[in-house]
Amino acid sequence: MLKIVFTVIKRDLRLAMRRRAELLTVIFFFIISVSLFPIAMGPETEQEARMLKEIAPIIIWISALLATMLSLGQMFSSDYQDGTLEQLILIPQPFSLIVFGKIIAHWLVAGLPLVLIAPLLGMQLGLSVPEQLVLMLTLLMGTPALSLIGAMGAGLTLGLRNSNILVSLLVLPLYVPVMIYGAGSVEAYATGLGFKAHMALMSAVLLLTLILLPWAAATAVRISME
Amino acid sequence: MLNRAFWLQFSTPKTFYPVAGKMIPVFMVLAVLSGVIGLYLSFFETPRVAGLQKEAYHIIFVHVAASWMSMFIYMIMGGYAMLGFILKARLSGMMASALAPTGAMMTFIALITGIIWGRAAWNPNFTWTPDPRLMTELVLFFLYMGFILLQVVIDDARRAMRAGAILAIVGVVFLPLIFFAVKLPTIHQPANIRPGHTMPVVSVVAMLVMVFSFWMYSIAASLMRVRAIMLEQEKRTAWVQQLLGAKT
Amino acid sequence: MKWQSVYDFVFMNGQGWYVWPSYLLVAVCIVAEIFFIKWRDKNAEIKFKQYVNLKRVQDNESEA
Repeated sequence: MLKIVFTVIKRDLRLAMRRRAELLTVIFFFIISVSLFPIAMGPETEQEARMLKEIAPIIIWISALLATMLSLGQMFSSDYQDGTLEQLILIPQPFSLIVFGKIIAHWLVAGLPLVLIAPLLGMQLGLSVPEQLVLMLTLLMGTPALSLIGAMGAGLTLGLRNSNILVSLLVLPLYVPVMIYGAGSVEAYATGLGFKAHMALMSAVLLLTLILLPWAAATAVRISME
Repeated sequence: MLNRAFWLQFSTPKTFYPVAGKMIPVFMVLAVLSGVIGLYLSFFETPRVAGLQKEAYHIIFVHVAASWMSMFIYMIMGGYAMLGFILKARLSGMMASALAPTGAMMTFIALITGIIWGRAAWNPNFTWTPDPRLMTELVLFFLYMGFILLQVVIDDARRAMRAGAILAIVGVVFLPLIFFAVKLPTIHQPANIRPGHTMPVVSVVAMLVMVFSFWMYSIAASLMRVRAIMLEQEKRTAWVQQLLGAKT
Repeated sequence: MKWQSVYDFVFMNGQGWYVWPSYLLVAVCIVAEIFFIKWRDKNAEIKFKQYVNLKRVQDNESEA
């Protein structure tokens, strides 16, 4: 049963590697949108630097949300357009597993780079090293949830005109708790309150999305394909 | 009369349409009556307050009713969506679509009255106080709008119903998460003085009556809307053609 | 009667500016919602008539 998941992951990664430019745009969007904040600040006074440091986790998290949302379009659209998606539904393996494989591939390509680049951006905004590690951890647990939720959004809007904007509206309210726990963890750590509560909740969100959303995304794609 | 067959016969659009039509005036009358009672109680029977509350606390009688209804309707909508999805019952899906705009309106009222009340009661200068319940209302508003827009954009009625059902189910599961997420203590939350721990009984009664009034109104409005939806979607059936054809 | 006068009821020590617009908002929303539902009903009728006409045209074409 796991074999189909790995097959799908390998296929999607191979296809993604052929379209490297698209992936790089997502990563660059992340970098640029985070960098806009210190750029807009201008020459910093110390008070401004402190303020930037305080809202740094929020900036990085929101930019991660937006970057993930931009990358959601490519999850199903190319397979939808060339007819592969129909064939994938028809094969005897459970479609939820296939969608799960696609989500994992999407995360490896669009979520994991964000996790890895975040420390550099954190340095730009003035976060200390332990804070950057906490941020990385929250992103590591949060970005899979973002990919999972986003898959459902992409599945629901498959084939519609102007689906990108609609996906944002559908998916952003569901992203809110992930973002709050993520950014809140770093903030809680920074103020000495300890981040265990936030991280526990974050892992609860991740588990919930892991259980519920592959089914939801698969059903959404099925509904759109009828 | 209490056997299943009797009630099941109303589970199709054709049979439910006239039943809904008869129920609407009943609920409207209930809504207006309880609304009048609630308003009278809230304006004339509750004690005058001095000190921290100020008189603007009259707003809470609509604010609490609207925010309660906004969350309640979302849960009911999710329930109908799930029912329609699992049982493949079109009428349940139509009820879910009918409930959504009413719920969105309740959320909107709760948001605006909440802001007005916040400003009146605690803050002479206009600041957006990050009150957890108000934030949940904001996210809830976007959840409603997402559901409504998804169904508007999809042309095929059946696909729209089922897609909305998935969105509603996931939304219902996420809503408690959102509420608890916004509630987490951070250093930025201002001290929230919540009134109500020593509220006079009359105020509580008035609030409950207003909630009941809003509830009856929501039922009436949704029934009106579901009838319109039935006419929109069941164009090809004989009973609609008869109904509308007879009107020309 | 807890209000000292009609003026007191309307003005509420300066808080009337907050209370009455809120209630007005609720009233406007309710009226607007019912109006929109009635409009949707009428729209459904119009669309239905268009649909019937379309079918009549299509049937005539297929006969001819």
